[in-house]
Amino acid sequence: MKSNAFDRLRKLLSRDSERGLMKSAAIVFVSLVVFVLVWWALSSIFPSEYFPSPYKVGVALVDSFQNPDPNTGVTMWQHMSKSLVRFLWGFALAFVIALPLGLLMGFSNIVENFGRPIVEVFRPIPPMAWAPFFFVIVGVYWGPVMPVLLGVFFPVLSNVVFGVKSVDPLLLDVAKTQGADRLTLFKKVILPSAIPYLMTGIRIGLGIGWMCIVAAEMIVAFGGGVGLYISVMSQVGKWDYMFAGMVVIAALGILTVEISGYIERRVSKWMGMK
Amino acid sequence: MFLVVAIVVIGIAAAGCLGPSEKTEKVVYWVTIAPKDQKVAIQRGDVDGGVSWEPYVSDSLLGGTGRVLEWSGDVWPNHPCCVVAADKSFAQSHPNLVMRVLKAHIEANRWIADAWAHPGSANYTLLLEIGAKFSNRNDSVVAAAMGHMTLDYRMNEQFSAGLKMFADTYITLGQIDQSKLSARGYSSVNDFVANYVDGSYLASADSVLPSDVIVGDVRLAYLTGDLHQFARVVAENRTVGGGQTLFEKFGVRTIDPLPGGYPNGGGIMTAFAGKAADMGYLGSPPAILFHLNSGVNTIIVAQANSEGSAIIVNPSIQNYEDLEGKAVATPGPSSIQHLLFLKVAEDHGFTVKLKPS
Repeated sequence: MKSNAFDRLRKLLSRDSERGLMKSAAIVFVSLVVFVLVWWALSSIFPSEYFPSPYKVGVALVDSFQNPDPNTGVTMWQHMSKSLVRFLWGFALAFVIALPLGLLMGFSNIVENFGRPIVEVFRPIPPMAWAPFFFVIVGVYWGPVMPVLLGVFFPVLSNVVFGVKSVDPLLLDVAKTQGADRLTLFKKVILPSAIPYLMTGIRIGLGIGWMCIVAAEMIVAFGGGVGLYISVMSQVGKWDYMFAGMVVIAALGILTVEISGYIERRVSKWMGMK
Repeated sequence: MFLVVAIVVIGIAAAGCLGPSEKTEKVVYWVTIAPKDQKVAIQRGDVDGGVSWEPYVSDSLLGGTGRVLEWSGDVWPNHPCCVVAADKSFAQSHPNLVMRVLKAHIEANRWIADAWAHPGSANYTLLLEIGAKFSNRNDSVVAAAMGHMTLDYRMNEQFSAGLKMFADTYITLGQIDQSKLSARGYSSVNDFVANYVDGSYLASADSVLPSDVIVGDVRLAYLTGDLHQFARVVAENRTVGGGQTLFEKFGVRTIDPLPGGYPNGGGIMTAFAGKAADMGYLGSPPAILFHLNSGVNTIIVAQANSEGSAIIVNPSIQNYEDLEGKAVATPGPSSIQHLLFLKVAEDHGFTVKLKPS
């Protein structure tokens, strides 16, 4: 056991691997430096009041975490926590609905023929178009959650359906000749095959979900939210603080994508894909 | 890596649940909800009150969904509310067009005053029809709203004093940093108001005569469904102007930068910043906030209305004491309605906090 772990560690630290990691880290570093330099250059070209420099945004960012903003009376920590809770609710609900529905639509032609027209009607509608409606129908707590649900729902659903339909027919034939019934076929062949597609759908949905939460919180946000913060700062003309809110959203987006990446790796490993 | 990320996520989510004890405080909560949505939020019980402008106050009153706790005019008699602002460089390069727009604004105000003074007349009926169509409310709501606000283009000492009070309050609250005054070239709040309010265009506007030709185009921004800006709506009506709008009558063709109007004054000030609007009708607070905070180069050239906002509450709330622990919706921190809420909360000993959940 110890020997295996040692071997893995040695492999990880092998020269090639180390060189690859260093190269990746260097590229990421250069990319970030270029990004900040371009931002700095643009902020000196455009009016700095509306396009604050990275330094100004950094100062605003630190201040937003240290002190309650005078408009909403709470710190960025609370705004982040509220947004995160809404986001997680929306994501969880979308996942719980989209996964089984996608599997069913991919597996059964009847369900697909029934569901696809409805899905295709609703899919092109931007989730934010529903925001005022949701606010009235489901209230101020679930109102901002619902656009996130929609934003995550369709990418997950589409990818799961596609994943199920992309199962190698050879695998299905082999399973059938081995006597697998429909349930076994579903559990042992189709579901595992759909997982990578599901993970892709989740990654896409996470990005869309954050876009939706920000816009939804601009309509109503009990307890605050980063979307509300960005909206308020834009309404009072504090652009450096507005950009600080945008940086926070970017960080939260990266955070959640990292989590999904971790889960994807664990699932892949568990299923013997990697 | 995952452990670190998980700890961060849980920590952030938990942060919102932790806070100091509120046992000894007399707290009233607020949340941002657009005036058009406040009525349904009160009906649903999501909030216990709202601070709104017309026609939404009258809509709730006539609908029986709320009662007025206090009118803004009772808190700040004759306080300024909406104004007409202009891009300063546009005003300097096109003073003639600014005066022509203001002439139409003046004429619209006079027409409204005359129509309102003659109930039962054709113009009175037309006035209510125009208001109802613009605000998507019925004639009764528009008539009630007319009785709750004062439409006036003039800018007097009281107007300037009101703007000073707003600017002082924003500085006290920290919404405007004191240093911004000097950064914009003002020595004090008095100096700011004296320079930001430019009455010269209005003073010259009354002598503008009707024009047979269109002298120029003006991109004129306004707020969606806001009856405080009724004069603009009337000035755009072709029946009032005898086949042409009042703006056209005085030689101006107005262009709508955002058909349907802007949702808030911040949007209009952003349009000014992006050179998408030449003139606009908006609340005086966002005009002050954006000019001082971001240096948006505007001036105030006329008043649109005074008073006309109210704190409207669930009928079960009888007085301010009943608001303890309750939530009140405002259009947002850049609005005059939010300032009104902060003012009355302070007057009645409340600590104001964002509604937690």
